[in-house]
Amino acid sequence: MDEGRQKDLQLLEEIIDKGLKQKLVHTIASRDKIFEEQKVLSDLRKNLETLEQNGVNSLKTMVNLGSEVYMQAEVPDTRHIFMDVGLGFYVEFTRQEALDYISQREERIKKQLKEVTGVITLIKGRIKLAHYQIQQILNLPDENPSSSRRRAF
Amino acid sequence: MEPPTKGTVTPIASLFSEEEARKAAIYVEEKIGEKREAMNRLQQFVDENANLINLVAKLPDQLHHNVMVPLGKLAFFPGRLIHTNEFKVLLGENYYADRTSKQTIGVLSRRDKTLQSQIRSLKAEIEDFQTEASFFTATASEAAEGLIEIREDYVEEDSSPTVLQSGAKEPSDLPGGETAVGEVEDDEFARIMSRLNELEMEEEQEGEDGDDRDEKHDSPIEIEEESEHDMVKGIRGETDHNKFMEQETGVSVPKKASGHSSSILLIQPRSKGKVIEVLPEKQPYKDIDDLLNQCIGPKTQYLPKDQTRGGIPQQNAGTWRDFQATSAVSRAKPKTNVVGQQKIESPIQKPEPKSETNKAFTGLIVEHDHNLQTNTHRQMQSSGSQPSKPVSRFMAQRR
Repeated sequence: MDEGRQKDLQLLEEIIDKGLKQKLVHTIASRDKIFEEQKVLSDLRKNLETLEQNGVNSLKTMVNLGSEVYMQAEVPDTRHIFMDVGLGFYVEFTRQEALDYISQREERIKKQLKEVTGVITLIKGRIKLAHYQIQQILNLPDENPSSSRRRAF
Repeated sequence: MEPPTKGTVTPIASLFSEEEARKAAIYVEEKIGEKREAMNRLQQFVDENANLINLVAKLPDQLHHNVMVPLGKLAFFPGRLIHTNEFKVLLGENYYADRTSKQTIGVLSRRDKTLQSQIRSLKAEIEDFQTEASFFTATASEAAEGLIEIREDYVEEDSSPTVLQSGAKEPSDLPGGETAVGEVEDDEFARIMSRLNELEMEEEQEGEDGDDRDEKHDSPIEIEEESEHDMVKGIRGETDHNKFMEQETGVSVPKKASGHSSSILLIQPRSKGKVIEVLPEKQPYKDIDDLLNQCIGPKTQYLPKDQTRGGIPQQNAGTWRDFQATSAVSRAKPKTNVVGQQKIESPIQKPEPKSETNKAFTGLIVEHDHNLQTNTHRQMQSSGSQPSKPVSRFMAQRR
């Protein structure tokens, strides 16, 4: 009996430490990536909107050459923009097309975020459940009545 | 007291279990991995930096370059780089500086240097960790093999028996009425006393050696005696402070007799052979007699003494210089101390001829030294007379 409880405890701890917690870390990292993408997209949208509103057709900006060294750059025509659509493909959009594309992508990202957040909460719930199990296994021999009362609740 | 067990034998496995050592080794290996990662990152920076230097060097070759100008990470505009010899370089803390291509290359190469030094330090750290890891693995394998550590306290063999003996003796000599606790302390006390006795014996032996040394180049003590003369003579010049003078001589006589009796005896033959002919007045005992005479009937003898004082050094300036040389060689240290003393004394010597100052200087050197050596004697005999001495001499000089 005692040995069996020990085994259960060990199993639960292993599930928490090696399975659930690592999964949690992974999913949180992927969610952060999605958040970042969302931020990049929203920045781009804001930039394009300001360009659209002000009717700017040429642009001067600074380009990061790497290691925080910048050089001035000139864009003669801002009406056309190339956008990364994934897998190394770039599509030439007009500004309005780009804005539509961005809004679509933002929708997708919102969905993804919801999914991932659901997964995270699921993992967290499982961890809590496992903790509860451990608590019960530890408490059962000591205070039988209290744990049974808890079960009743 | 039973002799303690000679040493302890502990198997290394009990000190460091094999498992623990292995764990430590694994831990250190992990650390090495972390450091390696950091170093790889730094290496990447270095590569980037090198690429950038190439790029920056090439950019001003043309007036403008057609590039895709990024707008965020996802979007690009077709555009071109303009003002190809103007760079904005981050200095840190969000400050940017406008630099030319060459200046930018300078900045980047300086960055490269710091990166290289960081990599070097990381490499050293990794090496440290590697030796640590190898040590841990070695310990683990040793523990696995069942190696034994033998530890034995080092006990001084010659001291322990005497300690025990004296410890047995001395408490019995001491008056009774000691408690059990006191005995333990007595044991310790006896041990300390026996150690002290040993040290004293050693010191005595050394002291004999030291006397021999004195005999070899005894000029120091010889001159000490001379200087004593000078000092006393200087005091003698001053009549008002007769009392001080008497004190002084009173002090110096017993000191000579007691403190340096052995050395004086040793010196005497030599000084007779060499010095007495040229400096008959300087023979120590005679001098002491003189001093004693002065104490009894002071004022009458001052005049001849002062005369001799003026005369002798001039005659024997050469020998004095010899003395000076030997004393200077044998006592390089005290000489530095004397500088202050010499300054103080210089007014005394001014009216006298040059050879006299030479002589007086040597005398003063040693005089000072002498004071240092016999300081404790004086303090024990009469601490009050010492401070009075310099005062009286100054006063004498002013008159």
